Order: sequence, then C-alpha cells, then structure tokens
Amino acid sequence: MAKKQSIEHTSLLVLSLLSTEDMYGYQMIAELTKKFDNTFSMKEGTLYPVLKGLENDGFVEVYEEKTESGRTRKYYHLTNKGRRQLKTETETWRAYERAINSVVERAVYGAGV
Amino acid sequence: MEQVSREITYDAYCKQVCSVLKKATQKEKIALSEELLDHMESHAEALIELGWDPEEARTYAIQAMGDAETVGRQYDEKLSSFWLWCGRLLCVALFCYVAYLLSGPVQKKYQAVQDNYQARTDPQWGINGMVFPDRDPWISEPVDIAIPLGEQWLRIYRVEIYELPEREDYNIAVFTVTYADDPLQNTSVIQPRLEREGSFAYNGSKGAIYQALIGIVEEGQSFIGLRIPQIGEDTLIQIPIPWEVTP
Repeated sequence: MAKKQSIEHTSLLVLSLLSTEDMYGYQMIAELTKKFDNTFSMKEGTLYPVLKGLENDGFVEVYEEKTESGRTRKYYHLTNKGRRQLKTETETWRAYERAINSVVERAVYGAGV
Repeated sequence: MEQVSREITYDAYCKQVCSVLKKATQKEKIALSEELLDHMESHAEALIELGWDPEEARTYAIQAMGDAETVGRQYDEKLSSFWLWCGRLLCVALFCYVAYLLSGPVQKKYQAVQDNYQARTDPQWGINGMVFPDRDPWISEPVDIAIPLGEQWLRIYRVEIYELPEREDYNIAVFTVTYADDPLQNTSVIQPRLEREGSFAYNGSKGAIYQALIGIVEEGQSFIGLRIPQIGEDTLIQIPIPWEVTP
C-alpha cells in the first residue's frame, strides 16, 4: 500500500475539482480522498484558508444554498480567471512532473536508458 | 443529551478557530463557523452511513479538521486588513467625538468645582468694585460670617459703606457668596434681602454665586437685618455695621 502523502498543491487540486462542477468544502475532501484511493492526507480545516485565498484572487466565487437539513452550505464556483489559472498551474505542474520523472527514471533505470 | 454534547463540541471547535482571527469581522466569523460546522456534520453523517458509531463519527470528524488554532491562523492570513483598519479608525473617530462631546460638560464641572473652592478659601475676589463703579467706599471692611443653609453655605465676606451726597444716611453693600457643601454639587440661587433694600447684583457659576446686597443705613446704626428665604419661614441675621476701619 502506498504511503500517505501530504499534498502541497492544494490550490491546483481544488481548481481541478471545481473545473468539473461546483462543490462545497467537505465534498472536495471526499472527492480527493476517493480519487487518491486513500493515499491523500490533509487536515481538512486547512482547506478553508486555501479556498479563501482563491476567492480573494478571484479564481473562485462563492454562493450559498440551504441543505435538506436546513444548514447553510457554501458552494464554490470556478471563474474564468480561475480556469486560466488552472491552465497555467497545470502546465507548471507538468513541467515539474517531467523534470522529476527524468531524474527518477535515470536513477532507477540507469544513465543508458 | 447526545445532541447537546455534539453541539457543544462542534461549537467549541468553531469558537477556537474564530478566537485566533484578528482581522475578521463578526459576519466573517459567523460565515466561517457555519461552513466548518457544515463540514464536520457532513463528514460525521458520511461516516455514520458507513456504519460508524455516531459519537465516534463526530469525534473523528472534529479530529480530521486538524488543529483549530492552525486553521484559524492560516485563515486569518488570507483576510484583508481593510475592515480591521476601518474598525480601528472608526473607534478612534468615535472616541474623539465622545471626548469632544464630554469636554464641554467636564470643563464646566471643573470650573464649578474651582469656583466652589475659591468661595471657601478666598471669596474676596467676588464682585468688589462692581457695585458703584463711579464711587469709592467710605469704609470697606472684610468680615466672615458663614450661615449654613441645608446643603449650602451663605457666607458674608465684606461690608462697605458709601456716603450719599446731600443726605444723612448711607448706602451699605453686603457682599455674600453661596456655595454647595459638596463641591461636586451645583449651587442653587437663594435671594437674601437686606432691610431697607435698595438693589442687588450678582454673578457666579454653578460652583458659587456672588451677590452684593445694597441697602440704606442711618449713621451710628449698629446692625442691619439680612432676611434669608428658606422653606417654611425666613431666617433673620443681624449683621454688625463697621463704622470704623479696622487698623
């Protein structure tokens, strides 16, 4: 079983999740847990400072809805500016990923590969 | 009982997070608390659906949130200082405005206390020389007669005699000051009257009221009556008339 990792790129993950649908906080955590097959670990409360930062930057918008049980629930919606940011961050991440892979593959398979 | 316990626990977590927020408005604190509460309840409900014991599910949902102070600090970093400074500026402006409003009454009260103290210690500055600006007194003698009037004092501090041209009688001026026994209390006006009164003048503040009572006396008259109105009946005080100047 893979060791659980602390995710540093929460903003990128949140923007990615919101690119498919509007979500509320716990829904994002549940979705990330499912997608990472329980290898994802973060203190759930720390999601909210990240969301607040994205809201301040204009990458997400917030609206409220009432749940069936009467609670007020905040939903996050990805803005056009957020989509552009997601594209930029995804490209940055891929470049980073390629660099990491090349180093790791060289170490595992040797310089001749 | 279980319901109460759950609410207190969730509530305590939210309060702990909000206690760290320095830049948040009350509205922002309430909004964050509601969001965290929804998160924890949603998480607990999901675990209960998976067969968890409800109490354990709620405890786990809170633990999964992480350290409340860390969450609060990180959230606070994302908040704008704008409203914080607006609030501070508003407080300063409000303080200045209240100080401005209070300064008038406070200054008046301070002046009244100062006048009261002056009347007790040295009333001579009162209204000397204001009675007959065009005439000098023939005799001007300081006296000190203090008459208690309930919560006030009436003090006679000077008597002056003025010659009247082509007449055998004289003008007499009796100088009085009234002040409250408690310096913080206002002095109320009383109107003592001299027998054979001519006129009177007064000035003063809420701290002390000075009066100059003008009357007529015959040469050699030993006393002049001063009638002080009080509730019920008037009090009559006989004031000795100084026909000779004290060396």
